[in-house]
Amino acid sequence: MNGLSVTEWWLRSVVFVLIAVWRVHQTARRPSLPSVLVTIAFLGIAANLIFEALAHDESQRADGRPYLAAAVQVLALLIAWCATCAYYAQADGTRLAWRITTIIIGLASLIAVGTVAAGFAIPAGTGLHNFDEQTPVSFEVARFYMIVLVFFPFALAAGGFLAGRVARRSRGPLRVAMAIASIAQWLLAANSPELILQLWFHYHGETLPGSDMPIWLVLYFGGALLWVLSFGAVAAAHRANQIAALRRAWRSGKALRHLLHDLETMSPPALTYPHTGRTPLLMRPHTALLRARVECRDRLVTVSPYIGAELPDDARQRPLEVAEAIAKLHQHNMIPRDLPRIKPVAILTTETSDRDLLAELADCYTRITHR
Amino acid sequence: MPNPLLIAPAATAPCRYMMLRYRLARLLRQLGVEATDGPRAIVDALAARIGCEIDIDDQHQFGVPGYFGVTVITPASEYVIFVQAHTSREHQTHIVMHEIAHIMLGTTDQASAALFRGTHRTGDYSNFQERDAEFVARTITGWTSAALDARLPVQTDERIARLARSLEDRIAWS
Repeated sequence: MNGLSVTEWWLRSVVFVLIAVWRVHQTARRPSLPSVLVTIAFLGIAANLIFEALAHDESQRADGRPYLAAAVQVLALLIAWCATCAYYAQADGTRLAWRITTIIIGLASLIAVGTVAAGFAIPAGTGLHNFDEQTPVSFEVARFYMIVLVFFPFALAAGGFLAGRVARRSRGPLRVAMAIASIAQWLLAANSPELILQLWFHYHGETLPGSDMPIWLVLYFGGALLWVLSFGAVAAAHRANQIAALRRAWRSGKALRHLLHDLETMSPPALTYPHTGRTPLLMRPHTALLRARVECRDRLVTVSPYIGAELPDDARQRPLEVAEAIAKLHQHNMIPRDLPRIKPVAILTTETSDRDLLAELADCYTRITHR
Repeated sequence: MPNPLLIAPAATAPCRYMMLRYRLARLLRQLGVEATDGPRAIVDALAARIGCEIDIDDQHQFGVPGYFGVTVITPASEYVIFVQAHTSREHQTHIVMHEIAHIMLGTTDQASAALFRGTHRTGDYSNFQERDAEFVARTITGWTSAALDARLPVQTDERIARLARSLEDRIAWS
């Protein structure tokens, strides 16, 4: 319908099928109504593209009936768009949003009946209409496309309106994603009347003035691209946050290494956790940081009576003094190999949300031992 | 003692820890907690799943070297986790997770012969039960810290939050 080759149709279908399979996996892992709805939308679009590719295949045959596959394709697209509207409506949660979605579902039901009936009425051997070329259109074909095309300006505008409402109430990347989704659907909605007019002109053997203007391509492809991107924007922001956190974790873990190494030489070796399998790549900095923090604390508690003996009570919560005491104990090898069991002392335990005493201790210890 | 919720693979099984991590992720999803909910939510969800109370006493002073934490099963089949008082909140949380891992793995009984009906964290990983419990504790704590670090701005509306969760990338078990 828009000038792609049959191979390109299949390639696009495969890409969307892969996205849909990924969405099914996500929903199976953590089922929720929004997840189910967005998965239905993606499955519908993937099915739509597969049937569209099948219709194009069928259209190449002299006695083919491409409009049967095209009718099924439209049914899949109707389901996808109803799921999309419900997806935004459930997030909006207002009566207005659900009323709009109900109207769209009702309209989709009528369009579905009309599309199937119109598709069956088109005789065998009639090829699909190419909107890029001004070719004659029979009454049956024009009726089929008109029934289909009448749905989308309303459905897309409804989707854009509902996504815009959700965008206004959300924050952060979700707000951006919903704003993109809203803009995308308004762009697609703005493009829809052009297709109806083009069909009308083609049916009358004429060309729509200005139909070759690039603005229509921008509206169609720009809208479609933005709509797909809107679903990935939140995931992309989430993953970007994770990668930034990996760097922070790696730096924090590195800062603790020197302190951990010296505490290891001062405390029982059994406190060292053995290697256990392969850690997933994106978890390694956090795992290494956690290991350093837990084992530093295990050892600080274990040797705390000896650190405490070197410090007055009020200095046991000050990283610099504790670092000096550890450095002295380590330098003079003052902790016995076989530790007797004694009462521990609280060392650097008064942490607050804005103060990481262990990180401060590691920093002070590194400065003292490298002077 | 109920059946373990988390079954550790045999000691000689190939990819043992990968399988244990996979089973742990599945269990945590079944418990219905998010990684960003934090450790307390995991304790509460586990308590609800096994149908008994899990109390935490974080003011216990254990001698050192020795226990960092101890789980005791009361005659009423409730769990009480005693945690070393003289350490940081973060360390205490990790100790609780280690004890919780023993409850998940059902390895609380084995320690009973020695001292009491329960288990304990000493930081000695020479036996598989301690090592597995520590692996589970470190995996949970690593996942929760990674998920909290990557957290996006919190949505004020629960419906919008559900929508955001459906679009977010999967970090940790969820």
